[in-house]
Amino acid sequence: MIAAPSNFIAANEALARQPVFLITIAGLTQQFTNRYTGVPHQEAWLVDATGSGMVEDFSTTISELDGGAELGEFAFNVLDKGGFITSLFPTFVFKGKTVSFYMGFAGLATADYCLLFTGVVDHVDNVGNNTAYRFSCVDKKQILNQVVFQTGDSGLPTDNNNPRTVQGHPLDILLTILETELGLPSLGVDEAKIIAYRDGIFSGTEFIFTLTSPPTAKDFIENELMKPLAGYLWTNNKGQLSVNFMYPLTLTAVYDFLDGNITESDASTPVPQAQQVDLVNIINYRYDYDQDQNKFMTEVVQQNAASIAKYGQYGQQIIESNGMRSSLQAFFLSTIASRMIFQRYDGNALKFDPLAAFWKAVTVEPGDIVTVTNRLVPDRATGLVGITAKKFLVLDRIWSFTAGLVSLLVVDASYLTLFGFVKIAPNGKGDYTAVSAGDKAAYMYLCNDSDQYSNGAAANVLG
Amino acid sequence: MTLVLQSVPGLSDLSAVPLAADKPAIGIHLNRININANFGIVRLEVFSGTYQHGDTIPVPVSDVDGYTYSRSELIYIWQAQNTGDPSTGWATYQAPWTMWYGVWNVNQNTGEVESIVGYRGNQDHTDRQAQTNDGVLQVFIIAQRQRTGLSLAAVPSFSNILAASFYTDRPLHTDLITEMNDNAKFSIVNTEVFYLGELAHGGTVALPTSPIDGHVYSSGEVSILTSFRWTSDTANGGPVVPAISKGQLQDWAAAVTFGGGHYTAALTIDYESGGRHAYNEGKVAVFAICQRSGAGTFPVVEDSYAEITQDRFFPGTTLRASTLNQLNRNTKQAVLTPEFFGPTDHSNGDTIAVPTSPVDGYTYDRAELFYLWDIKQTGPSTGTGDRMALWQAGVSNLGVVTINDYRLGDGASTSNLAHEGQIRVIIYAKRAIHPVHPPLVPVHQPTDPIAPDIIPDQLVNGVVLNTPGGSTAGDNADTVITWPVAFPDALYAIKSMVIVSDNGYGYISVFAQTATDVTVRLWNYGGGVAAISINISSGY
Repeated sequence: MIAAPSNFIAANEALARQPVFLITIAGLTQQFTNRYTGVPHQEAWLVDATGSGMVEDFSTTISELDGGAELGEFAFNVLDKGGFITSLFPTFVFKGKTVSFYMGFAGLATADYCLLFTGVVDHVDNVGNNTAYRFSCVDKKQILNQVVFQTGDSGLPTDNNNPRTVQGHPLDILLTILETELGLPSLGVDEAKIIAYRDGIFSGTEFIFTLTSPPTAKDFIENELMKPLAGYLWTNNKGQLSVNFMYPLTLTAVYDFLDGNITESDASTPVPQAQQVDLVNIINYRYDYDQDQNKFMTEVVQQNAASIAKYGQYGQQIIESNGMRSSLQAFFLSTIASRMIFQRYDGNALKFDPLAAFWKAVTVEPGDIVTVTNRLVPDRATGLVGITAKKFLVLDRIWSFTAGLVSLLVVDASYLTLFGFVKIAPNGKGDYTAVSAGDKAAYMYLCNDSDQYSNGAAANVLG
Repeated sequence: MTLVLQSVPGLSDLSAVPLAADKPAIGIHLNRININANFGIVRLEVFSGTYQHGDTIPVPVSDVDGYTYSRSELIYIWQAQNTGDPSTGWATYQAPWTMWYGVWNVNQNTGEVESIVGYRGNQDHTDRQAQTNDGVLQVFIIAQRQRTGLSLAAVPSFSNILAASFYTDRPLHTDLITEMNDNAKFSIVNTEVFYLGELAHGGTVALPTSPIDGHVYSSGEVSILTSFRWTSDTANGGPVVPAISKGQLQDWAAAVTFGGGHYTAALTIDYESGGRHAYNEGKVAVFAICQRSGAGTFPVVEDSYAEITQDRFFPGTTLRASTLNQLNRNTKQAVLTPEFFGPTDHSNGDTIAVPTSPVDGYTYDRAELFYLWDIKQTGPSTGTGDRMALWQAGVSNLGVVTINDYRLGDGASTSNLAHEGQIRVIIYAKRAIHPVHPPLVPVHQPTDPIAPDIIPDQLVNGVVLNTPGGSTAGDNADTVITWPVAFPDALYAIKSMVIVSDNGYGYISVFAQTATDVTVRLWNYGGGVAAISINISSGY
């Protein structure tokens, strides 16, 4: 979830509120808004010069099974008042400049505005019969089109005779690519989240690559690092390259979608239209790549046996990893990733595409866990109509600034309710029957083979 | 019962950070520890076979989990099980020729086998010099998964966790899971084998350091085995034919001992030339069999390994005391898999004692043992002027040591069998549920001067049969051929027939056979057949 200032969140709850869009361009003193703010250098020059809005709809599309994500074009239109924009061109280069897009509300201090997008200027085009300029911006992922690991272990350019060995934790390799090979500053990388995954769920994971040609960063990251671990690389609101994995960092829902904050996606769809997720019940994992034989020496077929028995084989995925090794628990990694994919894409689960919501949901972002409650949505798992606080995971997102709507693609994540929330106990913590109710619920205790404690209580479960 | 793992395990260097107090209790981490324990069981495996010059050692496949090793994961230790011709089991050059030098190798990178045995006459016949590819090598293939690719951030220690630590209601304390994590990693690295390179006499090598975690082995944790690279002289770093004046090869011996903080090789090559003359020549490849201390002793025998399926640790499952107890026991057994005992010196006829584990008191069954050995010394010979004609050695799957020295004494026309010399044996022990590796190929003991159980081709050649005169068709008179030695189990067939005179034709068959002779018959189809030359082969 986007970390928004508390005043913004409070202001966003108000029934009547007047949004303020604020755009800054690095190196430019003037800032552009959609209404007068009274703040020096903030010019209310944002206009709808194309019919698509002052700030055009902005989308984020997640390719979860392919390891990547795409941000749509972020575009806004600025009135060329008094030829001011035109006068800048001889001395100011817009292309490549960092653009920050904030949103606030009338009466809110600028410091309380919420940062929604960070990117760079790509195009500046005349629009509206040359009365305005349309700024088209992209995220910093363009840098991922560069090749990396260009130097072999010998110091010569990477090739068949001078291979480059890359060995380590896949998320450390990711950081190396982003910060060392591509030269991104640490502020341009969501280090906190990457390290949290590295030291948490994926602690102890190791890949080994022998590269005989330098790969493009995007291909390598998505295919070799993200996809085998059931994750994807994306760009967050700060313009940082970040990661999400099917095993979430937190199991807590960040937003509750209810009747009061869900709206119709269009006139013909007054309620969230329940759809069905795709079915994937078979995955071929290939690893133990042998350079000499130029082939993967190990292929494991992971299957959701219960699903195959019911539906037959569907949605086969092939995941090839040059870095995974049997001797580095590759089979276990493939099992965990496959299990997460099977749970996500079991074919019976719900999907909303879109789930349309009011602007209060603007801070929800891909990877967030949310709940949905709606009495008119059928649940095929239970065979009943109506869902209550059912967990979903957010994938795609579209912000419609003119309409003030948030459209999300969310998929059923109710299997996460089976995951445990308990913790490892500090030394000295007493046995289950001797501790407080709070500690009983907070920590993990060993149980008997009937999955109970000595007093008959059901045992806590692992996360 | 044979252990079979459902999947190929591997190493995870799970840090202690996610196992700290108040961190989420995640099944994935417990499963990593579980898989580490499985990996400890299979990380080091030993295979063996006998090979000859020109062979390439095949890459083994584990019969525990089907893992196919790569060449880079293998170390080869070889011993000359028989210095003779692999096809006959005896020296290609026989009395009065004897051994002159031996050069043996298994290329650590390619697995290619090299065996060169030189023969010569005595000092009265220095013109008799020959080089062959005689030799049958027993090769011990030490397979260590990711031999050069594993790494641990820290040297793991071992804590003896008792079974009483696992009971219903017990909290998953951070210390408990952290120790289990460390123990599982310890089980992976506590036995390692290193190739330390080649040493000439006086050469030194340092104590080995683990490339996985940097642990420097102490001398008490290391046992050394050597493989003779060559007995000959050395020039420019390679073997050269010994000076003819040295005489005929008599014995060879090697020892690598620890002192002054390093290992030093002592090599002795004895030649017979008007008496025994010792030279510090030759070269050996040196291998370190390492077993870390620190496991202490276990109160109960650990032989109840049972694979824990990954399902037991998936999110949403409970954590049973019985599961963690089994994981602990699996880890302890992995620490003891394998165990190495020795080295001990053995002479011909010794039966190697079945060891008992000093850690948990487990008494091994003979079927769980495998014997790695090297040559301590081939002699010393006791007869006057003894020269080495053929050397054989090995250990049977019953632990019986065989050492055969075939020596040609002064003035002798045939060599005599002696049982001098000693081998050093290190026992590789894997507990009952593990597969037994193929036993050694039995040592072949040929009868001097010809190995009698392989019949040379064309033993009888060119026997001329009685032939009828003229062109009358019909049976010819039977011709009986008597072999020089009885071969009751052999069958004979006519290999070829050539009519050496006249223009007739026909065929010859084996008509009858006894223990000492075979009767062949000519069937003459017509025409004049004056004489026939036949070759009789064996082996059917």
